[in-house]
Amino acid sequence: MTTTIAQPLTTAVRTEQLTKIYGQGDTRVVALDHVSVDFWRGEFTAIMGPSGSGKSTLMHCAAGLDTPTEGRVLIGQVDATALNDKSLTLLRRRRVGFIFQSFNLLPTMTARENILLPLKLARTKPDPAWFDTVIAVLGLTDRLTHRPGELSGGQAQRVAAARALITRPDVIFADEPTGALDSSSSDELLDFLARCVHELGQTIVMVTHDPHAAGYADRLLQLADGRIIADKRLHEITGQTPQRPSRPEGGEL
Amino acid sequence: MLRQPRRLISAGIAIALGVAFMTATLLFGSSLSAAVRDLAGGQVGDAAAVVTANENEDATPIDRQVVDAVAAVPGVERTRALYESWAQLSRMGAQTQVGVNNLPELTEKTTLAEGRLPQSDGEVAVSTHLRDSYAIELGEELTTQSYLDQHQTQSKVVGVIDPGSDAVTSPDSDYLFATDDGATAITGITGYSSIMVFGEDPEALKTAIGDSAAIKDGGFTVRTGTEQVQHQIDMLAGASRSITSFLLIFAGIALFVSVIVIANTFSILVAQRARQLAMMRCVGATRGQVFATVIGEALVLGAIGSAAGLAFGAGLAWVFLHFGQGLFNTEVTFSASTGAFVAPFLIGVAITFLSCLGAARRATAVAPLAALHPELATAETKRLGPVRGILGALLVLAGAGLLVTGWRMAGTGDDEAHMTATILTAMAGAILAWLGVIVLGRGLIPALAAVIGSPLGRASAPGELAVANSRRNPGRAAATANALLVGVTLIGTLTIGAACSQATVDHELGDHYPQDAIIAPTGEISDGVLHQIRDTEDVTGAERVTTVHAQASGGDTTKDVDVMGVSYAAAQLSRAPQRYDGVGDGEFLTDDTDFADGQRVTVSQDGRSVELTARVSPTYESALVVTPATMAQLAPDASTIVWVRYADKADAQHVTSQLGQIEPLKNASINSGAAERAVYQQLIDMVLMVAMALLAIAVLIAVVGVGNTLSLSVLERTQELGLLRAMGMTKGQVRQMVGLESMTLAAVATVIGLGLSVVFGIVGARALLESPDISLVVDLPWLRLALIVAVALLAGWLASLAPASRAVKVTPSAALATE
Ligand SMILES: Nc1ncnc2c1ncn2[C@@H]1O[C@H](COP(=O)(O)OP(=O)(O)OP(=O)(O)O)[C@@H](O)[C@H]1O
Ligand SMILES: [Mg+2]
Repeated sequence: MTTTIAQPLTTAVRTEQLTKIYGQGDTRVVALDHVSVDFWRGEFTAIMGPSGSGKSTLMHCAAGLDTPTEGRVLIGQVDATALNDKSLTLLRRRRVGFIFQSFNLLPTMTARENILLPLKLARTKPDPAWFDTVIAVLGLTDRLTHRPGELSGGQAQRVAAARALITRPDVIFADEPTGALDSSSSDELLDFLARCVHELGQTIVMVTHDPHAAGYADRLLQLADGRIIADKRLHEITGQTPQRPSRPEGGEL
Repeated sequence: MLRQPRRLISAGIAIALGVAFMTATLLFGSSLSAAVRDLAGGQVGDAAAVVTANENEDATPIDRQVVDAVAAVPGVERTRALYESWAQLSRMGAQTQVGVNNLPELTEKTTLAEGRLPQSDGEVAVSTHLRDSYAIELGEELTTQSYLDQHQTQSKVVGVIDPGSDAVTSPDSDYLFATDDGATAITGITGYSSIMVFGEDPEALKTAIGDSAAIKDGGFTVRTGTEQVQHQIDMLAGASRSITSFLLIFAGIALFVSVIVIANTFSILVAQRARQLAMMRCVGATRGQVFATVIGEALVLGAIGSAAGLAFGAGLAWVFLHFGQGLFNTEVTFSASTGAFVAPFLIGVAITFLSCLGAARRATAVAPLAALHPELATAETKRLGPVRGILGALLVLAGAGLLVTGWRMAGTGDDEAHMTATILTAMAGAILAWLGVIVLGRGLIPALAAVIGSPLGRASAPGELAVANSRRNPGRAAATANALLVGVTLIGTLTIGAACSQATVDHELGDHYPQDAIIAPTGEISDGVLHQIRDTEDVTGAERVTTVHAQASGGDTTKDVDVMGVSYAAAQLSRAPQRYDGVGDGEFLTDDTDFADGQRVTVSQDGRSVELTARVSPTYESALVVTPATMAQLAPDASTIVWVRYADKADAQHVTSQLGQIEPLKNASINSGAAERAVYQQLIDMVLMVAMALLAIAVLIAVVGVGNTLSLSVLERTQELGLLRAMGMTKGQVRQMVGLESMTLAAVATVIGLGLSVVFGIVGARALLESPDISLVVDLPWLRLALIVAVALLAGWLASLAPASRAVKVTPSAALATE
């Protein structure tokens, strides 16, 4: 809370004329049809739309998990569509975090090991202060030695969130993260995600079917037939969370 | 499962390899028996009856009188007496054993290739094989030595005979042919080995000859021609049958490994399909139907795999017989028996069936409810249960007990029965202990993986994941590693056993042949010649040693002795330097207990005499060893021999023949202990090589099994791989992870396998070799063991290549796709 002066928003991820076509001939499906959208830093965006409208496809392409048929994806200032597999992997490792609907954790590792895995893959040392902050925010302090089988669904999703946060990525993509949770665990997780955005300055893009979940977001994108049909601002984020550095120092919550 | 044939390919390969091995072995066996039949018939030809000398040693020889007596029997039209014996041929310092036969009849098969047939006693003809091996030319003088009394004979080569199977038992080997008297002169052994009798009525001839006095008195055997052929087949076929059964043991090992691999594959497949099977149960499939589905698939797989193996094995046998003729002393043509085709096929199908029974039974146990509760279906984390734990521990204990008993028994008795009992005890111990370790695998293998893998886990994320993955499913990891363990244990045991045998034999031979070579020249050895010897390639040293016969008298003993003057330098050339070490002027060393340690003995020779102090110990020579200075006092003109030391890795035969070519040594006798040792070494090495090559098949099947398990595990972990890729694991890291998982399993199998091998190899070698007068020398062949480790790890890594490339094909978005 150091400044109250609004600064211009910068984009964490931007898509330009993003098009994804699956199959050919009879089975041809246009999953994304020239989608151009900016995801701003420090913003919590929810994506909604009917089944098959292209939400997951948009997320996969924007996150560099899948290559689009046409168009560009910029993650930070880097054109992800121009990278080879190795550079793209390294880009994901450094700049992007994920929370999936289910199966987020490796069953052979404890919660702590799961959280630290991305750092271990990159062979970098964890920042202990940041680690403590993240697990404190997510309420995982006394669950660290448990294996995924010993965690509740909500806890497992929070571990996944912690893992996504630990590398301080430019953006976290979450595909229906509450899909497999009951309403109270779901509220808990969404509350945490919102705090990450508002208190830690994290950028999050979340796909959901649940309007209640979307209510936690700052901005709501609606998709239909591979096109954006609505882009609404739910909260005036600029007033609420002044432009803090996108990689805040930990420990001051 | 058949709808996903890729998943079954490796199980199919495992069956095919086992069946191919067996088919090749049986076809090889049937070809060999055909060759044997051909061979046995050869010498007998159309003889009506055959008279043979008894095989036992002190049987009366068939001499000229017996042949004449047989020829005089009414009805005998013609006789032909065969002389077959051996002698040692020396050529340029090298010695080789040759067959010595009397002259064969020239026929279509047996022809004169060069020159003429020998006519007088001093002439010989050589077989084409002998001519080619030693580049012998017509007109050359050959020196042969009798095995009976060591006397030497010089014979002139006048012809070359290309012998057929009607003349000799193995046409492609070394023979000298001489007149009857010439042959006897060379070998010093009298007596023919058999008489071929030609005439009209075989049965009548057999009776008539058998009744004649000469045959009765000599105790010779008479058979009709047909009987004789059958008799020889029985004897030769025994040999070919034992080759076949030797090979079948290895085929059996390969099949055993196949069983482990196939059973593992099916149980993984059933585990992976548990939900699908549960769904089938939900929609009304009975247990029987589920069981039949799995068994049906196994039978189809077994039939296809076995058919492929059959074709492959037949091809192998054909190729081997086609290109490997040089290995045999006679022509072996490809000849197939029906059994060689039917048996492997049936066995292949049967073992596939048996291997998957367990998996099929487990498939029927999948509860329909598992379709709704995935966690019920994936309850396949088989850990080491108490039953297995106790059974395994008991087996290991019983095995260890027997091994210790075998160890204690070894060397305490000399008779055959005792030796056999020792070997059987040790073998039973090894098998029990080994089975115990396999049963304990589910506990042992994951535990060891954790230990061996811990440095890997600390090193990198892929390493950590790899080790965790390898331990994740104890039952699966154990089955995979056990398959490899079988091969590694056997290879390790053989390697260590061979090294210990080699060391023991070396030690024993070192006692019998303490010098690599002893040159006894006909005259003096000049310094120039000594230098020439030292300069010969692979000779590391040569020293003069003097010898003389003398009389020794001390106390009330007076006896003839050999005295050797050995310098310190000469002693150091010996393989047993302790025999000559530390002798001082004024004393002699001996192991002759007619003398007492410290006794004063007068040694005299040719009018000179010296008084010496005896030093007696069993480590010394039987001759009296003195210093060169003492020798100079006793016998200034003692005869000189030269001790030669060869380089350790030298080709002893070759060095010996090089020495033989030094001009002044042309007529010297060169007695090479090194060459003798080399013969044993080659023998041991060859047995080891053959066994290794045969075991390699079992290892190959196991490696296929490792690849198989990994592939199936990779398929199972698609989501996980996608997740890792999404989180930033590069393709290289994925490859590394799968490779390290495979190598961890290989390393575990190798560590356990080699650990067992050390015990089995040493105990086994001791049980086989040790007797009251031979004690085992333990020698661990570190280099070869390191090589086994390296090969096993490399095999593990190779096995991971296909699964790894499958793993990197998983796209990151796969993690997001549930189901
Ligand atoms: N791998 C694929 N191959 C072919 N078509 C695909 C593939 N993935 C998605 N599609 C098609 O693309 C379209 C968009 O799919 P997408 O998964 O993005 O939808 P979604 O909005 O995430 O739906 P849901 O809400 O059900 O998750 C759908 O019509 C789908 O059938
Ligand atoms: Mg979706």
